Amino acid sequence: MSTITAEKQLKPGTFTVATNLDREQWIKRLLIVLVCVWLMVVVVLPLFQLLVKSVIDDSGRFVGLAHFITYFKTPALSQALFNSLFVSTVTTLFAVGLGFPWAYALTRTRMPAKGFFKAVAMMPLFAPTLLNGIALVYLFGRKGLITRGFFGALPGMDIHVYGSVGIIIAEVLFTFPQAVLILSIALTMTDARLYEAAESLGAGRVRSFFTVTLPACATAWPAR
Amino acid sequence: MNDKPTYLQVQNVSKVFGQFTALQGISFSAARGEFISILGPSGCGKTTLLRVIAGLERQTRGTVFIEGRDVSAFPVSRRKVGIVFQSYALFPNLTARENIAYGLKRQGKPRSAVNAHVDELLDLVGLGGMGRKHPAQLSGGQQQRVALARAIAVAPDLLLLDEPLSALDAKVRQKLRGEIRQLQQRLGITTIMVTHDQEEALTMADRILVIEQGRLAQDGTPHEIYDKPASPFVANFIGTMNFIEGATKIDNGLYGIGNTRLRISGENGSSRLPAGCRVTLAIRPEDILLQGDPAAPNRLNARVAGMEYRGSLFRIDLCLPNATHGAGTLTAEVPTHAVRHLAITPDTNLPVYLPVDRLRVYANEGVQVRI
Repeated sequence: MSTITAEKQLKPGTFTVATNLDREQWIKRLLIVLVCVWLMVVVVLPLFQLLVKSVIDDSGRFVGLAHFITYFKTPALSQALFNSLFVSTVTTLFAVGLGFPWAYALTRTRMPAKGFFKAVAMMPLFAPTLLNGIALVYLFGRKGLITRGFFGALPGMDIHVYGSVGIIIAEVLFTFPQAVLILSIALTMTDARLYEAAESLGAGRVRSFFTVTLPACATAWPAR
Repeated sequence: MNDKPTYLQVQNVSKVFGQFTALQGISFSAARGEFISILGPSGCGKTTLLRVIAGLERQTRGTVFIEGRDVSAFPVSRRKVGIVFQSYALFPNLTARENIAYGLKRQGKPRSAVNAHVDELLDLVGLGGMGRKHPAQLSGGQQQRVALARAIAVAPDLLLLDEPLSALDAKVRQKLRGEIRQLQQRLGITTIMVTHDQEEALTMADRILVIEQGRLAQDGTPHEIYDKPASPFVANFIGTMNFIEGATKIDNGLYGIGNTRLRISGENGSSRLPAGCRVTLAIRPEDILLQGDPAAPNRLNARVAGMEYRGSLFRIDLCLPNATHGAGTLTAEVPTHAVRHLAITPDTNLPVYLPVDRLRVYANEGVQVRI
């Protein structure tokens, strides 16, 4: 009944409402078109250019998949591809593995000094990118503080930072703030009533963690 | 009403959040199989009361007994309650079936038994064949049914409903109202429902608790609540009520307003009040009569100030020229056929009868009349 009266009340203003909506629609479409054009120029066109270049040789003749075959036949090059995949997988595992407990502690516990820990997690975002590298070299490089055991005071430890280990550490440092941010949001957005519902149905902490908390965060995974 | 054993007893429960007192000394009990509705305006503490009963909130003072056992310190998982939350709180990543089966899994039943039980529940709430859908694919009414099935799946002794129908549109609400009530009676499950909708409470509940600012304003059957509201607040919150302010008690059963005398019979007469006490008189719009025995008491002269057509009845504003005090208007609800029969039009002068057994008396200055 209430909907009927609402519709009736709306009638007199229908005309102006419609024109406002029209304008909004147009602005929306225009913005979508602009974004699409921008993406074409900066993403699709360069990639397309790259793809085209990959199937022609230096003199401009079409060679099909020859370049790709050479690439995979050359151990050094295919190894590079494997390395990239390895580094990114391990980085994701570490960043999420570290970020989740951190985000959980920030959002779901009564831990003191939350502001401080949040700021610490966000620091890599504000530090210059070079800083990660310099710090790692100073600590773990050939003459690093830890490699040399604090100028010989302690037994030294070489983690071979010049290689995948170093890259992974740097990448984890770099992606950790994003992981914490995205997971914190997912954890805060979860409806508290879902936990109460789970509890009332007899679910313990472990089960509600796996049935409520993790699925809520799962929606945040693709963002990684 | 008290022939059945008490199942739930709430004793002197208070809840304080920092500076804010949400509940103050609430006591009531529910018999096994009874449907009780907690009714009140938003922010009156009714949901807090439900949460205390559920074990989702710990009361500041007071005790909750279930079957004579003090469960105040028990968490929700040990109280054998089924809860339907206001926005259903269905697990979005699980299908309707999985939602309903959620509470059954820990009971260690074989999978086939759980499946059979879930099918039964889906049929019970009229969702047969919808089990594979996720909550997002279901309408509000269907989600509500899943939530209900999930709550009763674990065979709770107490079913708690938090505004179960408030998110649905009027038609669905009306349909589900009857269905929930039928289901509750079939299962014989003690049920407590929080609502701010008086019609819902009146039509569904065996008993209504009206809450006003964290206090229990009245505890009674829908009939008692509507017919004998304990305070002007209750009278105004449930249905509509005419209040005639500025009356004075002359004697038991006799009240004066200006130079008009009104008789009030029986228990409504408030013999407990001293003569000379200032009171407010009240009468429901449908209790005001526009025809009757000319010798009947409480006959007043009135003029029709306005008429509002409502289909089966007219809502008529009456002006009482004789009443010298401010409360010179009354609203009456008169069946359309009576209006036609009496040929009532605006500005008609006519007699108005206030039946002696329909008038209610409320002492002023917040003194409640105990009946």
